[in-house]
Amino acid sequence: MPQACRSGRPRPSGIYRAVIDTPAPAAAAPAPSTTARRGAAAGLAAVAVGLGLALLVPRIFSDPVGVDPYDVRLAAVSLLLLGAALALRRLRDSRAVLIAVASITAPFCLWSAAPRVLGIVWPGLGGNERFAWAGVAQTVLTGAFVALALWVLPAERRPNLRLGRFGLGAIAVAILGSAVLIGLALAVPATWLGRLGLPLVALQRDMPWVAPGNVLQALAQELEFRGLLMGSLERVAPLWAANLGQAVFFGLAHIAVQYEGPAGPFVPVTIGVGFVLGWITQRTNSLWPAIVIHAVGDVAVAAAVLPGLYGY
Amino acid sequence: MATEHSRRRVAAAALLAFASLLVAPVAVSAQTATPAPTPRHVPSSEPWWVPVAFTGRPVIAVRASGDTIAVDVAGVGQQRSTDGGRTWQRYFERHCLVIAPDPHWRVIDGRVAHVNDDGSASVDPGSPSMPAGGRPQPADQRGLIAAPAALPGVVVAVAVDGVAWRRGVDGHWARALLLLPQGIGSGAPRITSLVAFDTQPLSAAVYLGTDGYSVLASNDDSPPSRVPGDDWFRAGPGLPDHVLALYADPVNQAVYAGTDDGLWVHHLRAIPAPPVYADAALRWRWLGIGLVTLVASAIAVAGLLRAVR
Repeated sequence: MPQACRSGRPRPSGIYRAVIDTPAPAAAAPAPSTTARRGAAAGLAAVAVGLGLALLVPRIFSDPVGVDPYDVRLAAVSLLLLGAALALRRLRDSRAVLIAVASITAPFCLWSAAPRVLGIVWPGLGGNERFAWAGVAQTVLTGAFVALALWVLPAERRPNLRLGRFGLGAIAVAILGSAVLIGLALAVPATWLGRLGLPLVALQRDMPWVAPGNVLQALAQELEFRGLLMGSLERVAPLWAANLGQAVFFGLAHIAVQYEGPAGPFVPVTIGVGFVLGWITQRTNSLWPAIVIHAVGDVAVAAAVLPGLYGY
Repeated sequence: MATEHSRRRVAAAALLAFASLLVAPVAVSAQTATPAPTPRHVPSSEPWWVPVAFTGRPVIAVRASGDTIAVDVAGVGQQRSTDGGRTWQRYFERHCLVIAPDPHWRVIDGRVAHVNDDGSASVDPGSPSMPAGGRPQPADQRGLIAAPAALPGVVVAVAVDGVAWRRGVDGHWARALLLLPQGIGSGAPRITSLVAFDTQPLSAAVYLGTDGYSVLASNDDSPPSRVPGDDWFRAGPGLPDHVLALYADPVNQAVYAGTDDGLWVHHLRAIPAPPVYADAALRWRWLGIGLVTLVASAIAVAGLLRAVR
């Protein structure tokens, strides 16, 4: 019998039932207080304001192609906020979401800087190898934030990471979801996406390093958004609200991509993709299908879309 | 064993130290990268592709040398301009515009062949099967083959299967570019032309015109391991999707494109690069960015404290 029924909690119906049927160990904790909810919401709002200001204000005195290290600014703001939340007891209810946000910005900053730094300390290393090692660095730092969350947060506030389960159903969802994603990408007119052709020689040269780099990036981002952020929000909000919250943040995070690139419709599309990946995670109670689908999508984009847009 | 309080203090101190390192103006990163040299000065305000003439009409062939441009326009016939495209007169060449073949590479007996200095040709046995005659359009006598003079020995050719192949300097041929379908139920667009600057080493890029995907260009500003044909990007911002003919004019340092919506020109230039700042400007920029970061964080923390009061 599912643990949720044993605990006597009401059995919800609909699409979110599966995740309640197999809750994480901390799910039986008492319902979150209003203070806890307010703390999490205020944390998210504050970090959104801080990141927004840090991202957009320098454009007043900057140039249009955005050579500023915006990723450094985002990481600095989120780390300063997290530092304040860890230092001040009054901000304890915001800690979980601030750890989650810092786990997004700081590893992204590291990923962005790693190829350049590697080029300085290891001049013989090729661009593809640097990209792959940047993925390793991002994943390791994300893992460090996971460890930080488990270390400093009380049990009832720890995010539900859903890494312990990857059953047959989850595997089937991962395969089916990947196929649907590829099918949708092929259905959209090619010029909308920049999906023009496959540079076969370049793929043979690049993919042995670029593909693992993409897989690691997908792993890190799923841990950040659907693991730490959604898992934290689920402790203080309904499942649907937690999913919507992380999806919006996932979409807004891609403003940073748009800041330097031509991806106009990228933000609303990524909000939708983020919501679907969050729903799959909650429905299967496993983070692995989202990791697989995200990785397949990233590799496909690297193989067929980015070459058309940027020539690499 | 560490208490929760001490854990938080350690974590907070580490994070604050890391954040202050990030804000400090210590890293002078890719902003100082030097842009690639520009072949000839082109005003930065000039679009990547500029319309020349015959807007609204299909231009099915083009040949240019300096101010003299000859075109074949559907429904109008052959036209020639001797003032860079400002005015046009009727013009006639028997059958079609004659486009000179590549000086070093031809299609012979369905294979790519190298033209030797004495005029004889030797077929490259490793080359892919080429279309008979190799003529995507009546005006193009060259076949879908291009060899930039900047990289002797390198050839890009479109084979009978519609796949672009490239021959490296080592003589090895490999499939370089496979165009993908345009959407559900529609195939890949037709490759209509393939050109490079084959008489003067102005650029190592190869331009591939398509009837649907505009123009793709091979990357030529990359590390030595990359040769034309390896990496391709869409080089057609502003240009109609249906490109019917291309011509590389070394005199003008330009690529002309005949499209279903007139004749267009692209003047060679470096791919846009980030601006370069002098040291002082960069320091002020970092200082401003650091200040904004700190102010943004302070506002966020103040708002957070107020919200949870």
